[in-house]
Amino acid sequence: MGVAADALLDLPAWQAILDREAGVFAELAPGASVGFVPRRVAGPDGALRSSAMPSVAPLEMLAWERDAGGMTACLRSYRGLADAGCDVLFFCERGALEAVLARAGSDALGEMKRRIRAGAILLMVLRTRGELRARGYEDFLESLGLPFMGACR
Amino acid sequence: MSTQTTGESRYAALFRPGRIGRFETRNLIKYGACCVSNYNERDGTITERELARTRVIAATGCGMITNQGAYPDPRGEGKAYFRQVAIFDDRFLPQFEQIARAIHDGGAVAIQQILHAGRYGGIDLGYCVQPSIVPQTLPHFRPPREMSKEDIRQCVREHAEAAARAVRAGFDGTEVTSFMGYLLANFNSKFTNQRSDEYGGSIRNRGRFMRELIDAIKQATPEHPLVIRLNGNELMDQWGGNDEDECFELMAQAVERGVDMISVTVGWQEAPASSIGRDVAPGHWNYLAARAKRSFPDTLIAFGNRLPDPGMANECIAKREFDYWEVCRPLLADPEMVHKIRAGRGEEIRRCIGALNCLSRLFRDLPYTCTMNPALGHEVEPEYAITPAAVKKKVMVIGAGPAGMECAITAAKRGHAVTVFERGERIGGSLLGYAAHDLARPDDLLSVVRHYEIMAAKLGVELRFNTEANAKLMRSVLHQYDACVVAAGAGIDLEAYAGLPGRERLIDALEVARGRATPGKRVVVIGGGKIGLTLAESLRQGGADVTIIEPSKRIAGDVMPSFKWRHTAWVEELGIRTLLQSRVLRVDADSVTVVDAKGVETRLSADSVIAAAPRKSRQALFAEFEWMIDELHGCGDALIPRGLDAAIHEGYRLGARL
Ligand SMILES: Cc1cc2nc3c(=O)[nH]c(=O)nc-3n(C[C@H](O)[C@H](O)[C@H](O)COP(=O)(O)O)c2cc1C
Ligand code: SF4
Repeated sequence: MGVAADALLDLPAWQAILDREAGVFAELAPGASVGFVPRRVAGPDGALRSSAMPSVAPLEMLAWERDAGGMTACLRSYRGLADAGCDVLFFCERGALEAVLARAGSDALGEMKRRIRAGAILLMVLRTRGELRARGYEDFLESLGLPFMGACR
Repeated sequence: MSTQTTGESRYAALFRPGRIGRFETRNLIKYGACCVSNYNERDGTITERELARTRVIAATGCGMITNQGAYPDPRGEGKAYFRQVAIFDDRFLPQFEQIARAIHDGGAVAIQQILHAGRYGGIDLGYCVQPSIVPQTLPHFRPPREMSKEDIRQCVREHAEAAARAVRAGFDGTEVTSFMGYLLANFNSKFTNQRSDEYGGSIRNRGRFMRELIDAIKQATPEHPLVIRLNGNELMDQWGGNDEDECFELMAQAVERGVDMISVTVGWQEAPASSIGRDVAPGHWNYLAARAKRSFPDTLIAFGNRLPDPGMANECIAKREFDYWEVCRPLLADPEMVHKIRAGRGEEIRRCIGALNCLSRLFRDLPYTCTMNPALGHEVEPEYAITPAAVKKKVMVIGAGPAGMECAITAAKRGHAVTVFERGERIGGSLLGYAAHDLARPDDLLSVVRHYEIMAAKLGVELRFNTEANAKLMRSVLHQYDACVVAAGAGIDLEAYAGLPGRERLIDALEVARGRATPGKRVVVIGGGKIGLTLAESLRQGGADVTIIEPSKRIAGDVMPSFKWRHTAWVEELGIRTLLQSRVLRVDADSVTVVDAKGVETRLSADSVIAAAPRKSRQALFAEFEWMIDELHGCGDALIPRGLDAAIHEGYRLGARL
């Protein structure tokens, strides 16, 4: 069973957040897609393993997808990084998505940003910078405190 | 009789001679590879601009000088920067020969660094290479490809060939770097190395690539020392990277293969925490070098990350915490630093303020420059040199902020007689206000002010404080000066609020910054740029309840790219409320009404409303003085409001040509 799976499956709650925060996603091009999976999954022996591997046993991925009408929350199958089917992938520690959902009515993306900073949500980009820019990701990623143009600290 | 200079006895440990392999160094200062410059051709050929810069580096007085990281493969997989130098072919030899010669002429041991950027490489390609396919965490970098065993063998061969080529060019030794997450670090890390063959898995396997690299380079250049840069801490724990103990285990493997020196570094580019930024206290990471020295007493240890203070470095060496002070940015900011401390003129050093304008520019594919050293990167242009003025003039400078003072001391160095008129009572201008509220390290900013105070005194620049510059003043000094430089800075444009109900209640942010106005406990700051943010953070830390109103989509729009994240993180951590895409509708005695982009109005309780934007240049003097003086110039924020970097650079350029 995936860690943090319950929050991940709560599609109506995620849809409400996407509707509420529509402005942040306004620049995303149709076809853009962001995925969320638990950071660790239990293997056949019960031990937890990283899901950030080229291939893993299928597990459910929460996807935020952009179509002509706006953002939609849905579930997809995740089989590993090699074929993730999204542009940006978030790996979530136990409790991180619950915390974001708990702020659904007020500051969900702010909470997401805080969780990213605290290391409870990690992301991986699966496209080049140019592709991400062409798909309108700059605003969304910067709003999460992720330096689009590279970091040096 | 002792022939030691004052500085040599004061910094006795630093100025002790040293030895690496069969090469003697005149002191224990290593110029760190800090020169990926983006000054070169896109194909990796070294330019005249680079060679001129290198001659300055060669003359720094260091005992050992590391030339910038060159990528070793013809495909460009190792290439991290837009105009990085290449060393994969003999056609690059002539320029490397010139660089090695220049370093030797300057009296230093010459080390060439080989830099394969791995995860951060392939800048001209659609991909980068890594031990395993671990996608990027920062959008800036390329999608990964896994290296096959044949790729690894070829890569090791290319490193060895590059090392041999460097030695043929006249370098005394070579260095491989895993600084900030390059290929070597990618193999060593359990985050980026998820291979299941003999190059991945256990720490011994992960270190195999490094050991093979060391063996191959040692075989190719048996008479020449090899330096390896390894992380003492990756700061990548939250990604599942190596912890500190693992980093030291990897160092042990390098020692076992006979490297001559370990240069200890900190952090990866994608690490969430600061490693060398202004918010890290100088000396913070010294413990890593000390641990390396304790663990490997027979191997030379070089260290310098965020260690800008020669006194502290001297002490560390004296205490055997490391063997060589490896300096990078302090020597960008002041290439004369070593000579100054040697001559007992340490107080004249221009300190690196750590704000990372240099690296920020590299990430934007621009040539690097330095806030504190306006000539850096322009060494090839005579226009940037400080030469004696052909006609000695009497120069009046209006404003003792960084632009005015930089212009004043540069002009004074050229032989002009300079008087600075300042309406305040000390040097610094708006920098003093920033420093008073800076949460990172006010001392960095104040070091700029101190530098101007010291240099003005040494160069005989006359300072007239508490003197308002206006037409009356100008009439009183009519025909006494040949040139006037208006460097009066910028203020907050309160006129922009002309139609705002309650505008008389607005407080000017600069008045608060300078301590001339004291806000209450419920504060609203209009403007989420650097002035508004700096004040908001400081007031919040002092216990006030603070809200920022920003008309655009994001805060920190005018902040240096490498520091934006720092402000946004502080805003989060301190719990400062931000209302974006919003503007103020009215200001009342105990509240302010705000409207957002959707037209929704909000009333916020506030006992003080601070206007921190927009800024407006103080340009009135240009019109007033136009017919009263021969030459009239302007520089810094008085032309267009920007910041410290533009102020210092413009002040210098103007001072160099007056
Ligand atoms: C402009 C610039 C270029 C750099 N280029 C390299 C490089 O080519 N290879 C490398 O290993 N480190 C490089 N570095 C890192 C420095 O060598 C050094 O480790 C880092 O700046 C921290 O030391 P400092 O606090 O003395 O600056 C560079 C740093 C800067 C600021
Ligand atoms: S740009 Fe800033 S951080 Fe870089 S060397 Fe200059 S003063 Fe230091």
